[in-house]
Amino acid sequence: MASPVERKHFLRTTAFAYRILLPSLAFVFVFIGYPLFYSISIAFKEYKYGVPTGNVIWFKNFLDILTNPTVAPLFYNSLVVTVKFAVVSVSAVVVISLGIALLMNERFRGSNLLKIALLLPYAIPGPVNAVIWNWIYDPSFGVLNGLLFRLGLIKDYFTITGNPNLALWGIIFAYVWKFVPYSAFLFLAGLSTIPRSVYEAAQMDRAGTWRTFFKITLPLLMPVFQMVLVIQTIFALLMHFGLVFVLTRGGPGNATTTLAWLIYNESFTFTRFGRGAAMAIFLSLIMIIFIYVYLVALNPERRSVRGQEA
Amino acid sequence: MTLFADSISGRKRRKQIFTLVGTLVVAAYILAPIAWVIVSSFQKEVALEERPPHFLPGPEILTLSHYGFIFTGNVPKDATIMIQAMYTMSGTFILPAIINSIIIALFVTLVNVVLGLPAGHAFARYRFYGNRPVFLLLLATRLLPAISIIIPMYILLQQFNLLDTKRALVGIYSAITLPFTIWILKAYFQNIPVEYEEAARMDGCGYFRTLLRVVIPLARPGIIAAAIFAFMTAYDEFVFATVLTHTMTSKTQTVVIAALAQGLSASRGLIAASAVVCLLPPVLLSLLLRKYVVQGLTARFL
Amino acid sequence: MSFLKLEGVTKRFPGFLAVDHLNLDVEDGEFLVLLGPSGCGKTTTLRMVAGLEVQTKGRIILQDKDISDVPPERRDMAMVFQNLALYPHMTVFNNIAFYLQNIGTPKETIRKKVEQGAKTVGIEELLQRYPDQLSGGQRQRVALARALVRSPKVFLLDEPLSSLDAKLRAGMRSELKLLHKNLREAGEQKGTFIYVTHDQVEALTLGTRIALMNKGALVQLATPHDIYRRPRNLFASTFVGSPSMNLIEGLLEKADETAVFRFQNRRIIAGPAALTALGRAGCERIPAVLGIRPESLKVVSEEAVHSLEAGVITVEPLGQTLLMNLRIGECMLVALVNPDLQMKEGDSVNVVFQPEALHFFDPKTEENLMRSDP
Repeated sequence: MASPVERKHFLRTTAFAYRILLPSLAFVFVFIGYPLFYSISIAFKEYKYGVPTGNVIWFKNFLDILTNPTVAPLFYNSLVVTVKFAVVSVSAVVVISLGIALLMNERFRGSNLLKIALLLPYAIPGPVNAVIWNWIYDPSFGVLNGLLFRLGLIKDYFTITGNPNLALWGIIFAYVWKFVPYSAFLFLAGLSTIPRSVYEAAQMDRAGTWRTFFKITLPLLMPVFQMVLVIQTIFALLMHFGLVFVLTRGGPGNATTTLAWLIYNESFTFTRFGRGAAMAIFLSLIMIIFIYVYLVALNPERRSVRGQEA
Repeated sequence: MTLFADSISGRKRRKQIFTLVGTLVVAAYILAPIAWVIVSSFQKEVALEERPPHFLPGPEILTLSHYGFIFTGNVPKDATIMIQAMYTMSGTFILPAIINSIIIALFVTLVNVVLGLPAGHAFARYRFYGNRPVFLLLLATRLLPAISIIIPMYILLQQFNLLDTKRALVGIYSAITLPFTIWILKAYFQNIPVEYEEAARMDGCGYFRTLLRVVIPLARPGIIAAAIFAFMTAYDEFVFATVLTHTMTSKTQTVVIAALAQGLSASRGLIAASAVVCLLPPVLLSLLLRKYVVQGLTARFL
Repeated sequence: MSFLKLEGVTKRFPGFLAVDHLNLDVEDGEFLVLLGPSGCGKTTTLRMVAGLEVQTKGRIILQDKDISDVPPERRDMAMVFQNLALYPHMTVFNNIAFYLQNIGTPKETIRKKVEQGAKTVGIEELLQRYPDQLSGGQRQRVALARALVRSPKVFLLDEPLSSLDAKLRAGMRSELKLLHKNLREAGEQKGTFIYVTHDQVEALTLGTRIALMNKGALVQLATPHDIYRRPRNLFASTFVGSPSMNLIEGLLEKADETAVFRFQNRRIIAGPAALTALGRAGCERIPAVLGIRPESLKVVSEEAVHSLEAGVITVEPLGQTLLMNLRIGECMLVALVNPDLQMKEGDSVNVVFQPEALHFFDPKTEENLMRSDP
């Protein structure tokens, strides 16, 4: 047990620390914490034309979302779209960025240039990315159409963002392109913690390329892998907003109306703040569930390489 | 598998081919969209409206008029009336919007460094009541989607007459970026031996002097990395900016370029050029300071 | 026909030559130690034998087949890495079994072989543990078991004991020696070991032959006994043996029917072997460096036949021996003597230089003048 002197010191340090932390905590609480609580309270209220009617309708907003025939189908559709988008995007990002990281892990002359190139999509702002791909997908003069036409793969120019079957894929492709570099760097960092001698030992043990990857590299990369999955899922649920905003605005029809877009629409196009806030709470819940599932399901005993040092 | 596989030299050759092809494919994948938008931005509007597009434009198609418009507002005189009409008013706003974005991002970076540094240091060095929970709580705020708090934010700002101000955005962005900055710096400090600071205390330095003369110089790479991330996050931000700004007093480049791209009759070349100009600040920043960016991206594994 | 042959093996890294035209013949069933200081090229040589490094020049021949271009996994060699490189995410069992699993051995056979290998090194109870749950010595044994189950043609070990503490190291040394002996007597695969170390004690105790290397080249290839008794040059004489050989610069000259070594106005009888060396050099008098091992110096109180006067600087009791730092004129000498001697610091004593224990080296070429073979 700590002596009285030690306890006094502890309390003094605590007071001192909080004095230092005060400005930062104030920022975060004022601009995030307070609005968050307020948001929860909004979800329980009724809003017409952006103005509170003063009626506290408790859980009606939530029920409407889940059951009301004018709202619920939209909501469930947005869930489907969101999940589809998230699953495909996260898988694509993880697989591609892992591949790129493995490539960059081989030390060869071009690997540094490759690293520099990878910084570019990361640095480009979301909306700018959307604008770039909007131009590439352009149904009249876009370069994607142009390329396919030139190569003789299509007979005529077609639209991507106007086609309900293709629109989501267009967004996925643009999204994946931007977010691969970040994960690639994370994977690369993880790969670099595996000492070369483990690979050499596997080589001496006659493990082929695939066996080495699946039985050595991947298991040792598990902690990083989890982290990338969690981060990418959080991103996928939110960061597509700029793309949807510019490229499809949720359409055509409801083909690309993700939950994030629906919230935006409900809140600012239709000014149904109460409903929007309720949906936002659902979105946050979904995120929390995903993260929890990952941390529990993918977290068996981790055997890090740090366990044995020479 | 192939006849090369059974010898070291064969294997080496196969690997070289593989990495070469792989690198080319990846490089093409990454650079193609960027290259295309740059090439497009230098082409005359008429050239951009042709099928198929000009992948490698010859000099007769090239022009600087799009960039000219962005920077000076002069519509190219040799263009047809129809094309002139495409240079909509909103096209002139790109430059002021970028300036807004940069100003906001700079202030946000300043706040992050000034507040985040002592905070990260405190979390790393001091044992105090609630150290871990408060830190985790700070990190948890990053998990919140902007959408969740945008509604109350709008209402609140409206009440305080802070809609459409740069100040409001600086405040919000600081709140968003601080937790991450503090996280990076905390991790960085934990990797610097505390003995340096202890020696400084023995040499008579008080809290601020230790911070100024010892801690900051030692943590420079981490500070730069955190600053870069804060800047880029603030520069890129879209959701809050879209909702909370109305006029050019505070509109940032994300908002303007999104609006520009949706304009039904906007000049494509202008859009391309605007996109290029918008992406220049963060891209240049990342390239020049790439050492720090890469370090920051991989810092958690130290 | 030798079992493993290195012909003119050279390895050049950008900016530096690691191994310089090395020629080495390894016999079947021998325990060859590559000994040398850091950076002498011994680990690089080992890795080239394994196939993990590709030689710049030269050939590697195993049982009369040129394996210079054969990938490591097809050379039928097992390697114990310096940092062990145990797979941290696999159990001990799977670590040992990995190779067998990769070549498609049936599960029953794998189980039998792993258990037997584990038994040989004494880790049967640890099979379900993970590497980070084991002590340093236990991990060592897992690495050994991993190599053993493969019954390879050659065992390659890269400073396997360097991360262990002194006592453990001594214990493992004996176990390795026993292991080698058992393998040699057991089966057809005779247990050929190539062992890299910078520790000359390990080399002397474990090796059937020692290949002493320095700066990428082979200095001497001989049995431990030979390297110790007849070191080829100054480097060999000082590197092997601890504390290292005493060296004195002076002049070797003919005097009457015998040879005499003179330095700083003192003389020591050098003996008939030195005379032969003089004869070979064709001179009456040549500059030379005298070498004598600390344990060969006898310290007595009164004058004796081949003795010189010396002053005692320090006395360090080492338990089973006594280490004395002595001074003769300008020279400092180290002697290992009987622990019962009563000399103290500041005493004046006599040091006996037995002619049979003397070595002479050419100051320029550093070669041992007493050796008759090239």
